[in-house]
Amino acid sequence: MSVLLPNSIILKKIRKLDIGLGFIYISSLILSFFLILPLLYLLFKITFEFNLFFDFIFNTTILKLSLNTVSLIILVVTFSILISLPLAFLNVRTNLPFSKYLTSISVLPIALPSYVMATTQIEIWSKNGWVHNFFKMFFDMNSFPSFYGLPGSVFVLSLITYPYVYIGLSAMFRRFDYQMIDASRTLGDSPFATARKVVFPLVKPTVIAGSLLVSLYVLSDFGAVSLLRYNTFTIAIFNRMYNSISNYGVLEISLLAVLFCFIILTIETKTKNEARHFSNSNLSDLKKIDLGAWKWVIFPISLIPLIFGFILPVSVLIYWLIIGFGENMGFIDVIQPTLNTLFISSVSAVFITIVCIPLLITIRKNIKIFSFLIDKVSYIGLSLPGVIVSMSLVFFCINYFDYIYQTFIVLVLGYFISFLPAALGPIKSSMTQIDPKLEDASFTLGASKIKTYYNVIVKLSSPGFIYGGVLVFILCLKELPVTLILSPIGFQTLATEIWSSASEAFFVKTALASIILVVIAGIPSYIFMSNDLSKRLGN
Amino acid sequence: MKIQDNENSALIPKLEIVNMHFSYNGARDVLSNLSLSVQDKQFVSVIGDSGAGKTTLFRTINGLEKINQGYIRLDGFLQSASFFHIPAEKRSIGTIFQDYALFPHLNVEKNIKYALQSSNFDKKFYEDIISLLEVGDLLDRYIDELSGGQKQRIALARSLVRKPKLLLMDEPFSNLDRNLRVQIRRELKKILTEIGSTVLLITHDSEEALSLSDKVGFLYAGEIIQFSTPQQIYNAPDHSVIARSISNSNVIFGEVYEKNVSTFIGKFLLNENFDETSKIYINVKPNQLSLSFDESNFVIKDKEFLEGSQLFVVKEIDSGIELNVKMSNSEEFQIGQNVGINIIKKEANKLLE
Repeated sequence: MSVLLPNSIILKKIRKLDIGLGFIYISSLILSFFLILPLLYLLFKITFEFNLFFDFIFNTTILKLSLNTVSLIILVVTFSILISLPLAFLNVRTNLPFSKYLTSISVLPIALPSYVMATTQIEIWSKNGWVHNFFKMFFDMNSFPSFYGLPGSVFVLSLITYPYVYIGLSAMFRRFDYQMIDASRTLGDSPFATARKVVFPLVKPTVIAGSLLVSLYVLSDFGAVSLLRYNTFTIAIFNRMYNSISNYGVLEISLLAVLFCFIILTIETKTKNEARHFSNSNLSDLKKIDLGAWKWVIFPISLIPLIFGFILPVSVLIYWLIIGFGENMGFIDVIQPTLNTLFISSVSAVFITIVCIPLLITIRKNIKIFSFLIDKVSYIGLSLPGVIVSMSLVFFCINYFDYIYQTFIVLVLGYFISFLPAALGPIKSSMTQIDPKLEDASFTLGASKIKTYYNVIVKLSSPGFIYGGVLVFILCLKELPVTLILSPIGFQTLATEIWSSASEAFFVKTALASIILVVIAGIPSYIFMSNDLSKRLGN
Repeated sequence: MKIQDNENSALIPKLEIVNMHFSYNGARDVLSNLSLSVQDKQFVSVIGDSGAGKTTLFRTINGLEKINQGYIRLDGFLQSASFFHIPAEKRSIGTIFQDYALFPHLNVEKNIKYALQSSNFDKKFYEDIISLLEVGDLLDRYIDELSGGQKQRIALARSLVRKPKLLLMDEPFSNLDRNLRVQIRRELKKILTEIGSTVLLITHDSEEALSLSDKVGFLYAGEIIQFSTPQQIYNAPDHSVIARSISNSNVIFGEVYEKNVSTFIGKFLLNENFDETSKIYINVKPNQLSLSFDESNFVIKDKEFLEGSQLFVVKEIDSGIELNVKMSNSEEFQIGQNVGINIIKKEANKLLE
């Protein structure tokens, strides 16, 4: 009933509110500074050595490194499309047996962190692995192609990343307006011309969007390529940080990797812009193509990505677990890393979810450039590889904040920069669904701005907070490079435990930690992805 | 500006469908023994309820589906038969889809020019169509930036610039609100008459079909069961299903001798003679009946205000039979009130079941 209060009290109230909001804006500014820190630090350092940067990147070693990274990206993107395009079409638009279930379980490979997928695939495909040993029973197999390097990296990363393309394509095929094809035919186009002029342009944005996600994943990946000994930007940065005395070239390679990220993001923005008029939102009238007897031939083929990407790797883990128990492998050592993982992931998830509040209030207040910048900065972690985030934090701490170096603070900060967008997305979307009239109603009932934000915005968007918090928790559980680089000395998590053992080829030792990680992080990741897919399919 | 000049147009039907059968994957016939003929410059509609086979008819005519029996001819040339099929892209049929099927990745100009050869098309005719449909200001826009009415005009322009021999429309007004629908219907009729198009409209909306068409076909269970002028189909439907669907008519059972039909509400006169006593169904329009206060063997179940009149649904208390009665707005009868029924016009026509 503020209208009935004397003027002086109202003025006091307003002043109090301004202080409250001012605090929120300053917090947002500080948080944004930390978010942009890796990028700022890179640019700051590089401006002093700009000429050296160009000399550095135009030498054979760095060009080879760039070529390695680019060829890996191109090959993984190509294979992801080749796997997901027919798979999505068959599952969504044909009468393939069990397609209802297959649509969802086809994204199961996403449940495996890249380093777990890599270790298990090495066991299957490398020399003296399952496949080699199988063939040795029948043939003389002295020479066997190496799984390490580019072939293994492409194989492993394609299996992990195809679900990113598959989800978009499934939703697109579900919503594709088939009248477009009929219209093109009745306007005089042959089936081939229709495919070229109508189907391809309408499918293209979805394929590109998925491909760009895959590209960013491959560019950021550290776990798989390090175990498969394939030299990319992330590996070069890590090795130069830890295996060379001078850290020579770390900043330059990082900047080069960031440039690659920005190229990918520019293409994404351009594609989104080109596709802004596409609205294939027709969910009704889904006529499935009858495959006839062919469906029984195609069905087992459609299971191949699932078999190679989930069933076989999990079988390997179970096999190792049985062997490990038999050989008394010391699985008890896993308890401490498990507790560490749960502890640091919970702390980070709670922290990141809470700091979303001031950032989102600032974005929602729509203060022209300020809110716009905060919004953009919040998503920076989405495109920066974890290795680069960690590297810049290490350098920054050594030079300016030595006392927080190798503490939990810097580790949580690393997670914050990398995973803030994951929390921000669901919270923001639940906030936008709140009717602005509720805020007005709260104000007219005399509630202060802070109270209104808490009672209306925060409380009503709590499902988004929970969803965002759980998502960050899962991502922290699996995260390897940030944990590896920023953890305090002696602090082992499941991810670092698996990676350390696998790097020294103690694969069996990784079994229990991997299975725990798949159960507590992988399966929930799958459930999230599968729910997202269901929503997009209108199920 | 004329879309076509065919000297033989008076002799050969523009579209001729004879004894056509169609089924999906050999299952039950969706269209059976269907025949239809559209003359040059004629506007013909096919009305049908859901599941009658409208969309299938649309897809067989424009060549998107192959037929099992019978044939389809366009300007005398065979298009479809059990042994022969000209694909959709080779038929000169302009098609307007229910949702317009405009390409979202192309702007309006590219949509309209989609089917035109870039170098070799009648620019004068193209410009005439653009000007006639008043879409010149929309050419740079994308489809998501257009209103429902604008989309419809673009879809029409896209079909017409190809100078099709036949314009085939599938429920083209169903996505428009009522006011816009009436306005656009009038505009469309004017434009199509001006161009001299031959049109086949497929719709579930009888009002739309009756107001636009020279002839109307009624599609029921995959078959055209009546094909006549709008007046005939409205005033003297052949079948009880048409009577009920088109004019809210009452289908009443009665006993006929000579021209007199005795029913449970009174006597009617037929326009044909029966030498022997027979049992038949007759068509009695709602405006042939009126309500009265004096008798009370009926009760008013529902009433609906229409333009200038009101439609009452009354139920006979003993048998539960319901009748539609149309009266002027000035009559004040209430739901639940007991009333009697008077016959104010005795002429009726016999219906097939």
